[in-house]
Order: sequence, then C-alpha cells, then structure tokens
Amino acid sequence: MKNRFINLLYALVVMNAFSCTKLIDIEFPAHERKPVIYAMPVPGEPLEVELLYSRGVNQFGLDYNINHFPRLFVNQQEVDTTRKTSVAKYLFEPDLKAGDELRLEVWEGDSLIAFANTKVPEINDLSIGAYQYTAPTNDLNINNASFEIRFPNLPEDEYFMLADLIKSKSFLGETTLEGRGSSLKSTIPILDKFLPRSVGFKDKFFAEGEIVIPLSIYYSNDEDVASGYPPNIYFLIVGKLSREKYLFFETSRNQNLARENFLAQVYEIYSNVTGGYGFFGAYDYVVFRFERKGQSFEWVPSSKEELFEGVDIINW
Amino acid sequence: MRKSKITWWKGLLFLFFFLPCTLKAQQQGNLRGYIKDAQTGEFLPGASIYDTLSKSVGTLSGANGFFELKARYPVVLRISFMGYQPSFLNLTQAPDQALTIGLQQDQVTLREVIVQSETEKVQDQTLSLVKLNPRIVDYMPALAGESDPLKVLQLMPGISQGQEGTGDLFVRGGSPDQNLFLLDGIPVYNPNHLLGFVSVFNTDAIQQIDVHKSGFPARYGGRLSSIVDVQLKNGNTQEFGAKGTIGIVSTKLLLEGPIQKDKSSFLISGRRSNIDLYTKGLSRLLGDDLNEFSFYDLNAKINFQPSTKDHVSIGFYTGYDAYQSNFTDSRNVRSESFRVAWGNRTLSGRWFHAFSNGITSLTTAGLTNYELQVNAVSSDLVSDLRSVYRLSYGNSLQEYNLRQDYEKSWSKHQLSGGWYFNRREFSPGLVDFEVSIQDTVSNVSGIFEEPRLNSHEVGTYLEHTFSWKNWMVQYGAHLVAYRENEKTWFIPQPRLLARYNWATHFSTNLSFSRMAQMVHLLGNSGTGLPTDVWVPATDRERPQDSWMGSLGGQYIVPIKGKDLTITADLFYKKMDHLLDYYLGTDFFLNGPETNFLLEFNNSWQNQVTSGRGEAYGLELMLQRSIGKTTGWLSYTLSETTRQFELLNRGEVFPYRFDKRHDIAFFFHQLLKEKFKFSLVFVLQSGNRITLPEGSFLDYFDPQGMGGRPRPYLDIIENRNNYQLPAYHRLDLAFTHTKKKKWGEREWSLSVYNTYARQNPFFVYVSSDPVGRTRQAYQVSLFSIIPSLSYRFSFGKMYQK
Repeated sequence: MKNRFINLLYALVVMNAFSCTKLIDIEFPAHERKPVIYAMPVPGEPLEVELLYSRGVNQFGLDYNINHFPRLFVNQQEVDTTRKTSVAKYLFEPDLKAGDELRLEVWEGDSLIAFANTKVPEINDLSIGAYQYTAPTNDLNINNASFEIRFPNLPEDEYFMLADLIKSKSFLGETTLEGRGSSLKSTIPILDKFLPRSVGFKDKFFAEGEIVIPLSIYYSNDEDVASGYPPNIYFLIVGKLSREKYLFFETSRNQNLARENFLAQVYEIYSNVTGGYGFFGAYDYVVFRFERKGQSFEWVPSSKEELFEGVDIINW
Repeated sequence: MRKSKITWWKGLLFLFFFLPCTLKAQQQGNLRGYIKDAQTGEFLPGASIYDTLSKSVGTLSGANGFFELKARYPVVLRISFMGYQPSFLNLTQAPDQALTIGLQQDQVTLREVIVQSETEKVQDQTLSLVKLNPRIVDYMPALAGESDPLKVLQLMPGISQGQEGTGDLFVRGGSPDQNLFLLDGIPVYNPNHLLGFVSVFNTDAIQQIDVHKSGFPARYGGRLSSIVDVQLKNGNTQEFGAKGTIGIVSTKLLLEGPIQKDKSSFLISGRRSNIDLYTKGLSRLLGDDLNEFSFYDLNAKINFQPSTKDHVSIGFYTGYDAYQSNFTDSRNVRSESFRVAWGNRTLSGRWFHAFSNGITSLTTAGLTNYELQVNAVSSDLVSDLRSVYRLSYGNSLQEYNLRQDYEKSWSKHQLSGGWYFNRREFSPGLVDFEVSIQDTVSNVSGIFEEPRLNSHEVGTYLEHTFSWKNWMVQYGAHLVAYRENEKTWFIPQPRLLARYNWATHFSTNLSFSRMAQMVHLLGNSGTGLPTDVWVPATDRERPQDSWMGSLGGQYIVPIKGKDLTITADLFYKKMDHLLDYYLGTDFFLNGPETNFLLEFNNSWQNQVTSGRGEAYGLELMLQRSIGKTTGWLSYTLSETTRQFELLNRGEVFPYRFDKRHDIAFFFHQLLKEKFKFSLVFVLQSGNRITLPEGSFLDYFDPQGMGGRPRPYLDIIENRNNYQLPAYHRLDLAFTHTKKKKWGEREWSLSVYNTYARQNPFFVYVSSDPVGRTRQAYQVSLFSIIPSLSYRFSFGKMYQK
C-alpha cells in the first residue's frame, strides 16, 4: 500500500507528459572516516564488540576497523578482553547485573578515539495473568489459547521494550507459523506482523503503569495431526532495552524504509557514541514458555538457557 | 487694485458676519451606513470612508460593510475600495437613517492586490495586510489554466511556495500548518485539492481574501504565521446570474440571484475535476489498470436582511478528493484495489446586528470537519489459497465553533472585543483489518484505534484603535484558555500596531504580537499530503507559540497618475514548541501497513520531539495598482532555521523551505478593451534537501544467516545540508473578452513555465540494493504547459 501512495504521486508526474528524470551531478558532502561501534551487553552473556569504519559516499575502502581496539569498563573497573573472535570483533566476559554502569572506549595506540556509556536496565517482575483456552467449536476445528502477560508497577521513566514470539525452542530451525494452518495473534498487532523478528516498543503507549500483552494462539487439530507435528512449544521473550539500543534500532529501521521514498525526509541514525557511530546499549530480558499438551496449553516457567539450548548465543 | 480692495473688504465682512453663523449651523453626529457593490448588492468590508473637508475624519467599513463615524456637517465623503470607482457623497446634515452606499466596479483600475492601505486613510487597520481581489486571479497565468488564489499569494513578499505547483503557503519562515484558513469565519483544515496542486477556494464564489502575516489584530488567533480570511460572496440581491469555466483541470459553475430583491439572495457554486474523465477513458482505451483521481467542491450560501440593522447568512461548503486504483495481474491470480479519499466540510451561520447606540455585533456559529479514509483490498485468486486482505484506515478532526465579535467606533477611536469557544474532536487513527483465507482455518481481524482526543478552547480579546496627530495606534490582547485531558493552558497574547505618518506620502509602522496554536500537523513529506495528521496540543506536547516583531515603511511616489507604492518590512519571528518526528517515522514514510500496525501501536506522542524555529528577513515591494498597467515586484531576503532536541544532535539547522532570496514579478496590461495580458516571473533560492554524508555497515547482518549482503546505513550529520539549484520560471496569460447578447465570454490562454525550465520537483538519491554506491536523480515535474480555458457569464451583472 505504501507503493500505492507513491504511485499516486508518480501518476501525477506521468500525467504531465513533459516531466523528466535525469541523473545529476551532485557533490556529496565531505566525510572524515570515524570508528563505528556495535555492542549490546546482556547480563549472563558474553559481550561481543564489533569495530567498523565509516566511509564517505561512493568512497570504497575497508569497512572493518583493524586499527583501533576497545576497552570495557564496568563500574569504572576495566574488564580484560578474552579473545578476538574475528577480524574486528572482540569478546569480553563481564559479570553484569542490573544497574551496572558500563563504558566502552575505542583507542588507537595511546589516543582515545571514541567512547560510549550505557547502563544495564532493571527488568521488572512479570506475571502471567488471565489464561483461557477455547476448544474447537466449529467445523474448522480451531483451538484458541489466550494469555495475558502483565508488567506491573512500571516505573515512571521511559521503558523500552522488546518482544519476540518464537514457536518451538529453536527459532532458527522453525521460523514461521505461516502456511501451517495455525497462527499467532495478539492484540499487540506488531507481534503478528513481525513474527518471528524482534520488535521494540516504548511503554508510553500503555497507561496506568502496567503493560498487558494479550496473546492468542490459533491452531488446527486437523492440521497438526495431518502434518505430524509434536506438541508445540512457544517462547515469548520480553526484554527491556536501554534507550541507546532502542533509538538506534528504530532510526536505522526507519532509514531503511525511507531509502527509496523520495518524499520522506531523511533522518539521522541515533548514536550514543561520542567520536563515532553505532551504539553501545545494554539489554535484558525474561522468557516465557507455553507448551501445548494435548488439547490445552500450559505456561511453564522457563529460563534463558532453555531458550537458547542448541543455539549459538553470540550470533543471536 | 481698487477692485481688489473691494474683494478684500467683502471677504472680511463675510468672515465677520457669516462665519459664526456657519459654525453654529455645523451639526455633529454619528453617521452610519453600509458600503455595497452597486451591481451585486454584496457588502464591502474594508472600504475606506474619508471626509475630504476635515481631512481628519475617516474610517474603514467593518464586518458586513458597516461603518460609523463622528461627522461634523457638512461633509464630503470619499468612499473607495479596491477594484471599485471611488464615490463622493456630499452631506450637509445628518441623514435620518443608516446610509446604503453603492460602489461601481472599476474595469480600468483593476486593483488586484493591495498591501497596506493608502495613506489618505486615517485609520489604517493593519500592517502587512494583503488584500486580494479574486477577480485578478482569473487573469493571471495559472498552472494548467486552473486559477488559484493561493498561488497568487505565493507571489507576495514574505510568502513563498514549497514544492513547485503546490498551494502550500510558507509565511515568514513558518510551516504550512501555521496558516489559519477561514471560510466565512470557519477554519478549513486542508486547503488543498489534488495533493496541493489546486486549492479548495473557488475564486468564483469569493468576495475577498485578506491575509495577515504580522501585526495581527487581537480578534485573530490560533495559528503562528498567518491568517487567510476568505469571505464568500453573499449572492446578488438585484438579479439572477450565472457564470462558469471549462478548463483542463476542472469545470466550474456558479448561480446566484435574489430570493427577495434587496432583501435576500442565494449563491451556489460548484466545481468538479475533469482529470478523472481523461484517465478513466485512457484506462479503458489502453485496457490498463484503473488509476483515477477526482475532486469536487460545492459552496452554497443564503443571505437575508430582515431589517436595516440585521443581516443573516448561512453558508455550507463541502469538498472531496478521491484516488482510486484497481489492479489485476496478467495471470489473473491477484487483484488489488486501493482508494484514498479526504475532504473538508464546513457549515456556518452568521448574524450581524447594528445596535442603536452604534455598537455592532457579529455572531458566528459553525462546524468544520476534515477526514481521511483509506481502503485497501487485496485478493489472492489462486484456487488452493484464496485469501482476502482488507484494511481500512481513517483519521478525522471535527471542530465546533461559537463566537461573538463586537465593535464600536467614536470620534477617532474604535473599540472591538469578543469571545469564542471551540471544541475539537480528534481521531488520530482507526484501523480495521481482516485477513481471511478461504477453506483454511485462519481468519484474523481486529480494530485498533489511537486514543481519541478532545480539546476545548475558550478565548476572549479586546482591542482599542485610535488616531492622535500623526499617530495611529492599535493595541489589544487575546487571551486563550486551552484544555486537553486534565491539563489547562492559559496563554495571553499581547498585540501592538503603531503607525506614524511623517508626511502625506510617507509613513512608518511597528508591530509586535504573540500568537499561539493549539494544534500540530504531523508529517514530513512537505507536500501537503492528506496523510499528514492533525493532533492536538496535549499535556506532553504543549501548544506552539511565537513572538513576532515587524518594522516597516511605506512611501507613495508623488508622481501624479502613477500611483507607485514602495513598501519595506523588517521582521523577526521566534517559534516555540514545534513538533517533528524524531525517529523518522510518519504515515507516508513507513507505508500504511507498517504505520497502522507498528507505529500505531506506538502512539504518535512517543515519536515526536519538540523544538523551536527562528525566522528573520527583509521584504521589499514596488507596486502599481491603478491604471491600465498594474503589477508589482517583490523581493524577500530571509533566513529560517529549526532546532529540535532529538534532531541534528540538537543543533540548529536550516529549514527545508528556507528561501534566502525570493523575487516575484507580476505585470498586468489592459491592451484594449477586449484584451488583457499578464506575466509572472519567479526567481527564488532552491529548497534544501538532506544528502547522506557517508555510510557504515548496519548492525543487522542477514548474510550471517544466509541472507543478502550486509546493508549500509547512511550518515546524516547535518540536516538539509544541500541546497537545490535556484528555481525560476516565466508564465504568460492572454485573455480575450467579448460581450454577447446573453452575457459575456472569455477565452484565456495561459502558458506556464514558458521557457521550459527544468526546476527540480524533488531530488532522490538512488543506491544499489545494500546502499554501497549512490547516485542522485532530479525529477522535474512541470515543463512548458500551455492551457486554454473558457469562461462564460450570464446576467447583467457580468456585462461590464
């Protein structure tokens, strides 16, 4: 539908037989190469820091930054680098907990080139609220399980969330529900739209200091029997983002969407890196597991480890 | 010498004996009346009434052409109004009742635009006021022959266009949402048809357009940058008439006439687009998918005068645009239909009353509605997966208005005051979607609605205007109380306008005003698209406000018969609490699906950042408004910037439509009685765009998961960092008028962009799929566009 809107404008352009498009010679603004940092500290997980280089428009060169090196500080105490995982990726294994203040610096020899700060977010207690299961009531043989996940007592400050819905415990192995005759549905429509991708959102949309995520799972007995699938396991990951990570993801996503849209204002990518680009933003999350047993669903307490069993955490 | 002495003695005797008698015989009293168009009976607000004997008594007609002045008889009144022949009235004593003075339209001295008033008028009501006579709009060159008053206003100093061809007004560094368009006192929220290429204001139905861009009278409020006050005709109270235009873009028809002669009248004016007729026919001819664009609007008004002291009018406006697209692929496996429609409706009732003590009141009640509706249906017609995807989206704004304005003039004073109330109901977004797959189990539907917001506004104002020696001072205040949710704002807005006449032909003026705006328009396309959403100021996003100062002068070149006026204005404007998206989000940018389902889930209030703006500049204008040769040359030198907390690292950046230099030249020549020629030349600095300054690899690496190569992100460090080449064009128009037995007809040939300048409509930067290499392309929308239109009018009133 976006294209329809753009076509509307194009239609007006085309209606004028004299309109024309031509390649023009524009001198793009000059650019001085700077380091780019990507690092997302998560409690309980090793931290990988990637160092890249920016470059000018239509200038070609090395994207991977091999001239600089990172230094990590947790509560002003430096953490040693354990190893270099690839050409410009460095691994740290800090013992992080909620409230820790982190600083990442990029050095070239004895010179500080860039730095960024972040804080490990405190994730609130979550609870499962109303649970409801509706057995098939018509010929289509559709099951419907509904849940409500509540985030009570939210703080008044901004609260950036991330939600993933994953079917089965290895999302790499089974990425989608589409075409199987079953579907996930939520009144948070984004959970439908972007399955199984991560989705960030801010809490300000939700009122009264409480976030409620109603979740419904539809499936067909016939379909599952026919396809021979085992009982389904669903994971819902709900995370709290640092402001830095949230803004970086939102702005980069929107810039990608706008790239070919001639009418859109081009927006800058948010960065909390002083002297460079990218982001250094902490993140933490909790996992909910829903297991279908026969004709019903159950919520089963789960852990991060169980979610990522058999999955390469670093690449996630 | 002897004879001379006798004459001298006679004169002395006359003075000695008869002068006291004459003085004693002088009467004083309030002189009241109405100024009307002699042919149509239309009231003429803003006409000048000036006593040429005393040279110190004068006023301007107010609402409904009513005036009152303190006269010392005898008086010789000169009554003048732009586009009309001046009329003189000799009164030796006070009339028994209110006068009705009719002015004849002037065919030779077609005063198309007046910026400020003539110095002979003692009470100059406003500074930097543009009065536009809609009659001239028809004679000006126009894009595709579609005359448009907003395009003419863009030729005024301090008012510029945004994207080429569109009618958005950028007034003294302000944005388009900062202009209040009033149609008979009722706001119109989207003044555009056809995505801005045609305005909703049909010149046939318009009596006058006043544009205030500084020195705002206290009665006005609600927007930061300008008030565009469009007054519709009441309809002819004398005789029936009809007029129409057949052009490339649209066809117009107007009917008017008396219901009861001299007492009441009606006016109906309609317009419909012709474009859909071409496109529909073309689609059928080529067997192509349907792409249809259409619009219409209708103005209707009835007016009646139950007594000499009362005048009542009821007006209605409705206008709608629709774009329809149907598509079926060649294999007949998928069909899509898409429709977007938007429109305004206004309903107004006005009651003017003149009290016996000289106080006049104008009561206005009305409502305005703006809505956008998008419907999309996509169907997969494959036998084993027959799915239907339906989505509709709508947003709307409804406003209810009630206001009363009072006015009283005495001696060299005028006092005006009033109050108003309005309630706005915003529905920022409602999504209704359904996905169904036939013969399978999935059927998902839902309704999501952005919380509706209601706001209330109560305002009052008081203003005093007086003349003292060479001074004219107008001071007042506008106070508004605005409430949304649980939050209430009180915003006092002082206003001052002072003028000093240094000599007969030279005056200087100073103005100072604060303006407040309770609504924001969210959108970043800059093209006046209907997808921009009106939202109210809230407890989180407070009302916009501005402070503005202006210093100017006016000089009438003392060459008899030339009537050359030079005006100059320096201005400074500071705007606060402006809104913009900081995440780069908007309806159009993300496309409706993602906006509906993603951003919709994330309220607009989470995605905006507040900021400020600044604009300053110098405006110059040389104008000739009387004679066979008329026109003006205007030049604006200005700078406009914006600053937002979460944009451009919080640093100041140039506004997208910052036109450093803006020159406009309009020339109109009455060649013979039947021929008119006009020319428009525009030269202005190019718009600003944001070019990427560099790039770096995205965090997301799909290649690591077996996908496409890792994409690049753009580095944008400085917003609006590139200025497009200068914009210029030359337009010509020839009009031939011929009287017929049945009335009059006119052929008008218009040539837009005569020398085919390829001005950039927009520039986009194209890249390879991952954004590694970049190239810039310029799209020029309008080359030379000749057009022909035919106008006809029936009735004596149009037989000039």
